[in-house]
Amino acid sequence: MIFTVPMKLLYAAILAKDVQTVSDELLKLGVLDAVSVRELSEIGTKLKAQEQDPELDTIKELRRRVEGFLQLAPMRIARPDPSVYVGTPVPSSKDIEKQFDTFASQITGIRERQKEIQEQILKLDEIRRQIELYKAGGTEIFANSAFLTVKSGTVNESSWTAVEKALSSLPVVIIPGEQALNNTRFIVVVMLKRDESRVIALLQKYGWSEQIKQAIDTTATANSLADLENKRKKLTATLDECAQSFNRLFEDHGSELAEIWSKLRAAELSGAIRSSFAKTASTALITGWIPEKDMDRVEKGIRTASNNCCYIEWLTVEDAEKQGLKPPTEIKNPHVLAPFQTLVTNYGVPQYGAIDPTAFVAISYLTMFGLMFGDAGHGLVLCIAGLLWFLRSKKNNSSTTLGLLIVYCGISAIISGLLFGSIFGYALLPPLWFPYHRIINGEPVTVGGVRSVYDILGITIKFGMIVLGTGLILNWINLARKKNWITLVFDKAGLVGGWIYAAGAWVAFYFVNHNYKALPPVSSLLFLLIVPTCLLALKAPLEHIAEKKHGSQHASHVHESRAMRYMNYFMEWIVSILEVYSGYLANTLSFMRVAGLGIAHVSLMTAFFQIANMVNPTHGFSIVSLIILIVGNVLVIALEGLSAGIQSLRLNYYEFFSKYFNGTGRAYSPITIKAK
Amino acid sequence: MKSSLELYSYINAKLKTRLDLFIKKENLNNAIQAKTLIESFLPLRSTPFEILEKIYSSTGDLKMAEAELFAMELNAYLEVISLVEEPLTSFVRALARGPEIEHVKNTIRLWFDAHVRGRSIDDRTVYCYRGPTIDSFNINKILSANNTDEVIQEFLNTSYFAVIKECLPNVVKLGTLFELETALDKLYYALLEQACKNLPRSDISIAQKFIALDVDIENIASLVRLNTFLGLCNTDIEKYLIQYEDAVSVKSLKTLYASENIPAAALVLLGKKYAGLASLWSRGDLSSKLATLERVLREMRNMEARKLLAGNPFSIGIIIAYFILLGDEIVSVRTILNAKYYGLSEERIRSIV
Repeated sequence: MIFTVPMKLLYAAILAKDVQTVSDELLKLGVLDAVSVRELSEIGTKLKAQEQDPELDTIKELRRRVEGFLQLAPMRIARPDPSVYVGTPVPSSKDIEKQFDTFASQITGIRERQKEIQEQILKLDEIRRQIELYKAGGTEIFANSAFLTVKSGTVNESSWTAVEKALSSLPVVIIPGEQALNNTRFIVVVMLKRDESRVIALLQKYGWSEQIKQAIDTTATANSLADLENKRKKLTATLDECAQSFNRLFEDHGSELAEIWSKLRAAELSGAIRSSFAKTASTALITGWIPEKDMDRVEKGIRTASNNCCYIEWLTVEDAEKQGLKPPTEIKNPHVLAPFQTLVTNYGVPQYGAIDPTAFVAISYLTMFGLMFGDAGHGLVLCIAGLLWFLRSKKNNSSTTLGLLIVYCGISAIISGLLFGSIFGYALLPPLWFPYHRIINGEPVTVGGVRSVYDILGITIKFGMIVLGTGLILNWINLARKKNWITLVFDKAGLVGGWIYAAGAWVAFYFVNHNYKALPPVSSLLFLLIVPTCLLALKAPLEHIAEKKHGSQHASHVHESRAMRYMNYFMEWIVSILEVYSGYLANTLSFMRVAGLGIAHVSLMTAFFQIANMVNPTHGFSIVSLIILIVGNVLVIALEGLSAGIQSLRLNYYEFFSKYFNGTGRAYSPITIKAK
Repeated sequence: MKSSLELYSYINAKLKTRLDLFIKKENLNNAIQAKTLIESFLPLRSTPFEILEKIYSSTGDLKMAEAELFAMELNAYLEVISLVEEPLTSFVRALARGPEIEHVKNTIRLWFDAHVRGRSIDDRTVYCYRGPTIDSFNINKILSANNTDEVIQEFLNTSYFAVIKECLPNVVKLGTLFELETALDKLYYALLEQACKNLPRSDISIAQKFIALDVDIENIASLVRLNTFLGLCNTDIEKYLIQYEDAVSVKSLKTLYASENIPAAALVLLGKKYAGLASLWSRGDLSSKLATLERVLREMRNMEARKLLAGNPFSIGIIIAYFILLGDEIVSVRTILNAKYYGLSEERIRSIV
């Protein structure tokens, strides 16, 4: 938890025939961060990479396609765990592709049917538009329409039901006559011009005889519109049936598709592992990073999968680094620290072997947040909001990190609210530490060590010094672990830098405690500040000597003249001095924002109380003042919560991390079946 | 007059944010690679074009989705108009005339097909845009109009009235809409030029450069059409060309018309004016002349748009670039979906998009 997870480099040689079983086994284990053969400086050029299996691209393509189908599904289709299918044969790509094409054509069939129905609906809509346009004019005006044809005539009375049925599926409007004459029924048919021949041909089957047009009265038009609406409803119902057929298609084939996805996923990942192997004529070489704790498991797995026909060797990180390989970084923390681990990895991945700052970030982030957002009531609201967010994310299977972070911030605010005796801006409980609201509002405070705004600013400066000091110590530990002694001692963030920082802080407090009138004696200043400042100058020349000794000189330094080199040393020293004195001062004063945000929180609440008092000077119950207080609290929670969260992050990233954190590591990313 | 900062800070920041939401190349690529039309909608999810899938999956009708694309484009103009102040409002309104004139042309084309050519149009009218426009006209009444007078009357209170009144009777006599369509295009550039004059001084040159490029593209496309479809002689083409001060001169265009391979000559001519164009056409295959030319002209517009985006953030350039890139994105989506519908191969689609 404090340091990154220790790694070992696996070298394993297996027989070519065992490549499949071993890759399947490694996939099941899910811990191999494969190293390409080209990265190996010693043997990389002598070995060929395992040839890319062309089938692998097809599998990847098919997996993407089935994912597309699963996305189309109107319901959520559970995908079986792909690990179950590791090592099981995958049906041939051709068969799967054929199956997918059939499935796609079934969907296309439904869409085609929908299109036909939609066309009918659109035609009906067009007829309606035209009827409405000509409503008052009667059939004579229809005759001039560019779209519609109106035909009047009779059909056999005995066929009337059949006519109605036959025309019901077409985009036509039938206006039946009042009564039957001579066993015939008079009807007026309104249709789109392009459907005319089709409709007349159908009517002729039922004894259609065209007759002189009759005027369509208003009632008939209303009837026609009603008929049109009925037809539209029927067609819409058919569209709904299409949607149901679509759902059924996925109900019937969904699980089958999900199973294919799992099989393809397992095959794809196993192939990805295989493609990282190097090969000779009859053997394959596996290289990759494995967490130290998984070494036995991996060795046992490879031996079993290859029937013990293998050679396995484990290289230490130091040996691997000699071959130019950079170990990956895995940081592992308890799940409760997940939000802070995300904050760390968002900034960068720590270097392998360095301190994992997650736990320190958790403490400093929450402390800073609490100091800026010290109100138990507001904290409770944050807690509830965070909890709801957390539960919602869990339900949606999405990341719960932000919800959990809000809950933690809420808890921090509750604790600090109790320390400051603040609940929704009211002093309902006696403060356990100091009354923040009373101090900010200028009320006299006579007990405790914190009595004025300056005391609050002082607290945050001291807190900042603790944070920066911790950062420096962590840096020293990292440098000592890397055996980087020169930097550890002489760097601005090394022991000498720490010495200057501590001495500077002591001098500053001495000055303040002497009412800004006296500095420490010169002899003390000489020892405390001048000596370490001079020591800073040794860093560059010592590094140069060490580089020369190890033959690792930078190319630009090789042909450098002596005068130029001394000039560079001098310039580096000057820059370091500036950075140490101005940088550390700025870093420390930056923490005053913690007090600033805390003061703003209290001031905003006070402002809303005053506004509420202005609208209700009698201090009785008033709905308006209640609304003002509620709105005020909501605003303060939202704005101050966001500000405090961002500022805490900023102080961690720029003040704390800059002292020790090098985010240039590479994240450990094993090929595992759990990966999405 | 307000300062550039006041005029552009809000709208340009908003449009730049929207540009970030445009479809990523990867998504367009996935849509092209999709095996079927239904699968090509998937990469459009979580983009502004998500609605197209909803329309298609509820109706199965791709034309409905295409109609929505047009509505999206015009609505984007109308929205920007509502968010800016004068003199930008007039300029964006003039820009919006572009898609609106296409809508007018389409409406008249339908009426023309039904009443002059005697063709059935009822399968096309249903997809006509009936939403809000800058100048309102009743599309249903136009489509049902019995004669040119009734059509002209429906445009009475629009900016297009004079042009339609002047050209419609003649095009009905001639049996081709080309003259009216050219007149409408000329009207668009005239309105744009007029609106351009009221812009802040620093913006005028940016807008004029854009108009000149657009006029060049329009004229070249017209030359190819005149040559390929109408076969007019050199002396008759002048009335179909748009004249604009900063654009390629009509004299040069007439010389170009006389050349054997118009697309190739056009590219040489434009190449002199627009630096960087040479790199575009060297990739093209001039055997498919028209398609290559169209693609190159489109890429030219995009190239200019990207230059504008990299320029002054408080200028009209961002608004112009936004509409150019929006139009291009809509064309790409429409092309891909149609190509998938007709089962075109991946390579063929890539050559068009």
